[in-house]
Amino acid sequence: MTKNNPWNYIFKGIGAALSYGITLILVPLVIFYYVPASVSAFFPIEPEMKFWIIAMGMVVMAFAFGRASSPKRSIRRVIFNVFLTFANVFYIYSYWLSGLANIDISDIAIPLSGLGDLLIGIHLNLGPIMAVELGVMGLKFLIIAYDLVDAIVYLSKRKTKIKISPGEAESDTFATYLEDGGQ
Amino acid sequence: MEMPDLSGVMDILTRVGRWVDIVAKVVNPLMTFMLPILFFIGDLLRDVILWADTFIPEGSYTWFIVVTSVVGVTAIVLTFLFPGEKPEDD
Repeated sequence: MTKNNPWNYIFKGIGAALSYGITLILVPLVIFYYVPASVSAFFPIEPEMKFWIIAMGMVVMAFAFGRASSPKRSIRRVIFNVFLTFANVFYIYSYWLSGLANIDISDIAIPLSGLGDLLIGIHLNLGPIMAVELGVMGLKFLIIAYDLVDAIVYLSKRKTKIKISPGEAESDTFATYLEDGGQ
Repeated sequence: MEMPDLSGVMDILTRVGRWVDIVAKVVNPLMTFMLPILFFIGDLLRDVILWADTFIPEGSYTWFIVVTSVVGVTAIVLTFLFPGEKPEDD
């Protein structure tokens, strides 16, 4: 077996981090910047929301980098994946915290000729939908648990494959782990 | 005026309708069970997030920059220390 080039993993990590950065930070900020004033009157975009998007987006990017730069079927990848999923859930929840889930569109006046104005109001509570979305993301932890078991089984199988000379048999555990690339 | 023969179209529509009915019969009870489970998991995660939120200082990027840097540096160091090995069949 030959060692992998670490730079390949670094570039993979940078790619993953950039893709998360574009979808989680850049796209929402650009959308918020270009939301017309007529819409933002009913759909308040608090500065606090922009803070959470940038702050949690950065953390998600870091964990995405860690996950993508880890070798496949490694415990390290699973650990990064746990934190990435949790950070993602936090990111989604930050929209909820910022009050975006409560859309209140009220007193829209539509003039009717000879009859006065027709007033329309809508209140949309997206909280339950976000709870379901968080639930779907929570199910991902089951897949991660499976990945963890898979990584442990893969690691133990690879360890038994490595040939050990009789003299080294007793002191092989940590040494082979290091030789094995920490997988 | 003669009516066009629609028996072929009706046959297809009946078949599609039968399949939609079967899918609905499978999906409906599944959703009835899944929705409360998803709500429960979502609610649980919300509680965990609210607990974690008490440790995060609001309004300052410093904490987030520190966390991002620590995670990034750890990932880079681990990548160079343990880059992994190519499987034998590669």
